[in-house]
Amino acid sequence: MTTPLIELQGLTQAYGSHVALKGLTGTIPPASIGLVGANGAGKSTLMKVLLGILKPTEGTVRVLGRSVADDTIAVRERVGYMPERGGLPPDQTAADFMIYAAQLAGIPPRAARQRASDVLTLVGLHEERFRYLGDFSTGMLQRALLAQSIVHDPDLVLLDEPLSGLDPEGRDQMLRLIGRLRGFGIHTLVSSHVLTDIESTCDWIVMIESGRMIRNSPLDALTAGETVGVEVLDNVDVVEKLLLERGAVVQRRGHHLDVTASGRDPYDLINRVLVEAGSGLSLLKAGVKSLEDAYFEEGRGAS
Amino acid sequence: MSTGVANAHTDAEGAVYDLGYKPHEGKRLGRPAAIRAMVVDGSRRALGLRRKAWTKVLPWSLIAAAVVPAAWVVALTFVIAGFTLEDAGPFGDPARFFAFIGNLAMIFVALVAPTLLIPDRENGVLAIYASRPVRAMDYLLARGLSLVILASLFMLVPHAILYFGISTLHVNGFVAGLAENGRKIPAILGTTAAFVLGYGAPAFLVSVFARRVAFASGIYVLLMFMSGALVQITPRATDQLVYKVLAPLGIMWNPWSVRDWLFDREPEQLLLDRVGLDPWVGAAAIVGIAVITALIAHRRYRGVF
Repeated sequence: MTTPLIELQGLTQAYGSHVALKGLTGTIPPASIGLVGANGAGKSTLMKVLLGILKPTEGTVRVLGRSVADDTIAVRERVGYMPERGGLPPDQTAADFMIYAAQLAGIPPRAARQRASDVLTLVGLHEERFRYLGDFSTGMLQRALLAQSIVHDPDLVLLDEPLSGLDPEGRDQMLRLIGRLRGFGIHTLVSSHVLTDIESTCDWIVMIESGRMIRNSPLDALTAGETVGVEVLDNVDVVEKLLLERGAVVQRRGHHLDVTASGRDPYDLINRVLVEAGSGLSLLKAGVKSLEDAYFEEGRGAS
Repeated sequence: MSTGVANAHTDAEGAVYDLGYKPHEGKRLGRPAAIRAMVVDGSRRALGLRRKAWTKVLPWSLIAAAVVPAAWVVALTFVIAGFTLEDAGPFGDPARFFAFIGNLAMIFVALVAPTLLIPDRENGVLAIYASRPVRAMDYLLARGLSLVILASLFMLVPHAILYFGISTLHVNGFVAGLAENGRKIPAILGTTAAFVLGYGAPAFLVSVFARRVAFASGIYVLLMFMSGALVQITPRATDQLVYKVLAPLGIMWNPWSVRDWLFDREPEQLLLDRVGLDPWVGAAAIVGIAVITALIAHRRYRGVF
């Protein structure tokens, strides 16, 4: 059985009277995880708890099979972190800081130099490695932050709003880099409030709303809709009428019908109706919701 | 083989090889290695090594100010025939030399301690440390060690230059000089430790809270001179309790009392002598302030890690 990446049991985190995380419980398998929520929902707080920076007010947290409270140092050896803001000393060169960041995680000096060179190449900063970080553009700084988060070869990397402040080209580059990490055996937990970014890089979704976990599931399960689209060849009026008689909700645009059959198999219903109407179809498409639609539906449900 | 060479010459298009990602399969050395790395990093930063040129100006100017006079005096012993210890002035006596190097060390520490702590905090680099397998205690220990190592070397290197130089003036030769002057080494080391801790801890404490390096340096020097001014308001041979309580807080003078104690010198009527306290009170005050600094710093940083 695969060890879960993250296990939360009744996790509550309070800052004085403000409760940032309220009784989070759930198991997250090894995957590319998207942590979704509005600003102030508790995403950054959860990341700090996972790193052992914040001690939970209540509940337990396990990362990579280890208790964060009891085994903080061992957890941090195998976890990388890309903070949302700051994080890089402007007076050091990219190469020097990457070597240092690797050594901080216990990588021996010679291996640290090699890994620093490798990760800077990976994020496209090899040519800039001897430039001071203070002279880097925002996009380069974000890539350097990503590089430091993987320079010690972690099993899991926590990326806190990795795309903030980036222009469209920079976002695209960063998304591709994050997408590549999975192929290196590095699991990612990406926090963002830009849902299209999460949709393109993640296959597991954790939604937090006002400190509560409102969804912890594969992304497919969330975005798969119950509506089926069908292009009817002829007798469209008859098909529509029969569907409505059988309790389906139908939206029509010319020959295209979007059919929602709550509580029933929509494919079976469409098949029966088409036979009865003596019609045929030219297209049948399962409905897929965008993550944004799903998020707002779930959010409404939670509130 | 020949085919490969031919291909290399005739292929018009280059090839890009993605070397992929190589996981680290070697050892992980843990916290001791991380602490070592932080000590080295702190020392480099304080000295401006592997940094832009302007960051080297102040620390290396101070180092030059400490080393060059000592080296100059040693050079004179070789150049001028009949050069004596009396000619060397304070450079001929390790205890008196502390009057020179101690004040210079105070300025050096005022520069180094804030440089070790403040940029990490203000640039948000602590978030990176907090994600690594280190604790607040490790970070502070490493930064403290950097300060202690650099300040100790700052004081001891000129002493070492003088030790070897002055030993050449001994009437019975260089080796006899080394042996005789060597008896003062424990006192030199002890007094250096008193200056490093006595001056370093307050600088560290100010840097734990200040937000700008220059501001921290200024506050620290001001604090030191204010504590130094206590000697002006303390009457000689007083028995009043208020002065006895205030005297160990004259942090500028405590290392001097330790120096007089370790070198077995006649006290210079500094704070502790004036109120009739023994020199060990100065040593205890230095250790006490260092411990309090460590506790406050840990309290301030533990929430970040």
